Amino acid sequence: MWLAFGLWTVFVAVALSRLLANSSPTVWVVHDEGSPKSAQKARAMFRTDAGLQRIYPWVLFGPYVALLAGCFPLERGRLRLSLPLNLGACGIFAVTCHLVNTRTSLKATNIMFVQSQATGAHKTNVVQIEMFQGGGRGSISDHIQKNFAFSGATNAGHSNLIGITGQHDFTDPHLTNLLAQLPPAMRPGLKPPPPAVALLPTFLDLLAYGAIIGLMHSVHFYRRFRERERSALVLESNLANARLSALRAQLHPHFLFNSLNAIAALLRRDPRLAEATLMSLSDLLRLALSQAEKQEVPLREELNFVNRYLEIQQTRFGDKLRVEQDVPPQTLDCRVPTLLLQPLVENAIRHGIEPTENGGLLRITAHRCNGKLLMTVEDDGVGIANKAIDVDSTNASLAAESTPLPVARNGIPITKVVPNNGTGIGLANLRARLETLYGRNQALELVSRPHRGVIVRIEIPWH
Amino acid sequence: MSVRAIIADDEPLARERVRSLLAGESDVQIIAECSNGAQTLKATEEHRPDLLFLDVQMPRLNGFEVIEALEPAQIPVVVFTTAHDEHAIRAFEVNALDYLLKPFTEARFKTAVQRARDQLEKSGRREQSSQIAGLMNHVHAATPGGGRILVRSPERIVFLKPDEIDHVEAAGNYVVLHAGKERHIVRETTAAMEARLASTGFMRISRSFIVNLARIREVQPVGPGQYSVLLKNGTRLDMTCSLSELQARLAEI
Repeated sequence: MWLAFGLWTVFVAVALSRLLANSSPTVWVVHDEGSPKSAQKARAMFRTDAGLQRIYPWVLFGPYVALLAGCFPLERGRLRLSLPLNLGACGIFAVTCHLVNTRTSLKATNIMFVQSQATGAHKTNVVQIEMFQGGGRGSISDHIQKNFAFSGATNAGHSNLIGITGQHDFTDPHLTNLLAQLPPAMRPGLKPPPPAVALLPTFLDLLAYGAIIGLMHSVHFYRRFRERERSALVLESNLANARLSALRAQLHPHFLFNSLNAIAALLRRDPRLAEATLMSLSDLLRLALSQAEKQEVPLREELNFVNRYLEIQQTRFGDKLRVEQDVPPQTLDCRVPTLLLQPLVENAIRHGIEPTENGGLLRITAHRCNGKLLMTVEDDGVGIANKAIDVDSTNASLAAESTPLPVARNGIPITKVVPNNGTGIGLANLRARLETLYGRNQALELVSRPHRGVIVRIEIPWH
Repeated sequence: MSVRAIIADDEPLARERVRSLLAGESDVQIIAECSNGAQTLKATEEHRPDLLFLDVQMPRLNGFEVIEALEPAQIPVVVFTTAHDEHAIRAFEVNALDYLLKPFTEARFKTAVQRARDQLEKSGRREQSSQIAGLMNHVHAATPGGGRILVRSPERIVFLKPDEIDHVEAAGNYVVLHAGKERHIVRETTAAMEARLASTGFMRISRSFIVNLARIREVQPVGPGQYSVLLKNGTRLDMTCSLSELQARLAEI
């Protein structure tokens, strides 16, 4: 695209230099066969020509305006920069158009003569148009005389000047010179246009600018709309994936059968606990199966789900799994993505605490901080083995040795987990969902401290 | 005759389940309970039980690694337990080993205990040892990349990843794994080690040597039709296989 703009700039430069360099006026002489209609036709042609002249700068500079509008659209949140930029560009556009027009109109001044021939009133309706350029090959007057066998004195009654197009500088020597060459009878009585009319071209320029901007914006917002539509689809599919993997985790045969085995063991010793565990398990399965199709739920609901899961895991592992929660009540109503914590808790247990000898501590925290909800899921288990982390994360692990936690810049993860052990897939899914839901206004980082566990930190807007 | 048993499972309730079911078997005496593989290995070597209830998924060493780390003579009659592990189950089936799928019924459990008792009475451990050898081969074959290679020394257990090994040297019924500056002795035949490492970029270049192809720096002629392999760490190994064979394998990687 930038190449195209480069070429266009070259074209504009050439076109402008050609438009501006040749400053001698052009005269159009229309030889009318006598019908009033043809005069009208000629007039219309003049107007078109005048209009075209006006359009040149629009065409030349339009792409730049479009580029600017594309790069700095006038939309909420970006107005501080894009509004002054657009206003400035608008001013520059109007001034440039005006300058180019004044300059081009000088040399492309169109003066039309209509020569009516009384005898040919019923002849064909042909309008003959000749164009002369002043300067160079003799005077305009000679041309007129030669081509139209024109004599100002005899035809004075039938000739009239019907138009001068372009923006005229009535003090322009070229123009006055040109008019002076005409037979006296044909010299038009030029009057400067009223001031309101003088402003009209600039008004038109602004209108053109508005039209270009408007067009670009409608394209921009249409695209944005399509993007939103698409990201909504992506969100939906990510949620579906999350739901599916949570369901799979709940229905993971290892988890399910071990839980059932634990319940079978409990039935003899502690039927009440066995019953409670069975209820937790069925609650969990039901929640996993019927997870509302909402992208976000209050933290309370997400924690409820996680707690059912933790109850079962604690029954299975006994003292080996200790759980700490630091979730102030005022955070419970904050909305979080559905199934945000569950996969993290599951990872912490499966990959952090289960492999340890003496068990470990799982900590879940949530806090409000600078208009954001900050959540952590932390375990003090074995950490992620080096194989699960790619080279980039070495620094992260080192950085993690010092407190406070390194904060990911721009939400770019400082630790990447290779999706090979289930951890990565869950996290990648979560990251994609957070990105689609909150754009750059979120962060997800995973810090692995070998043999001292893993901390996953999530930041989302408080809402 | 009393049967001395060890229960190994990382979940307390799973151990409790086995314990409570064993309460009905008056001749079975529980001598230890272990919650991870390393403990199980230690307890088995120390107490020399007759019967081991062994969970496959355990932290530290898993059930199979425990078996692999034990001297064959020390391996008791094993009843494997698992909640779900398709690979393990297939390995058990193929090698006709008894296993319990959690949760299991009391009747199923009694059958397993009875079979173990029968094996102990007719001293069927020898039969089991061939089954176990088959099981281990099956497990190694099913593990992508040959899995970790377990190396035992009196003090510690080391797991080597195949790509850590430079070359393997035959030494009678043992092989010596050369990994960097370390030497590890593993009781395994050269042929078995060759089979295990073949898929991970190793090649047997003579009766005595299996070499990690990625570690080869150059091949040098030492006589008419004779070559030796120079490893990146400077080790020189004689080669008896043909050069073209080696080239073919090197081209693969």
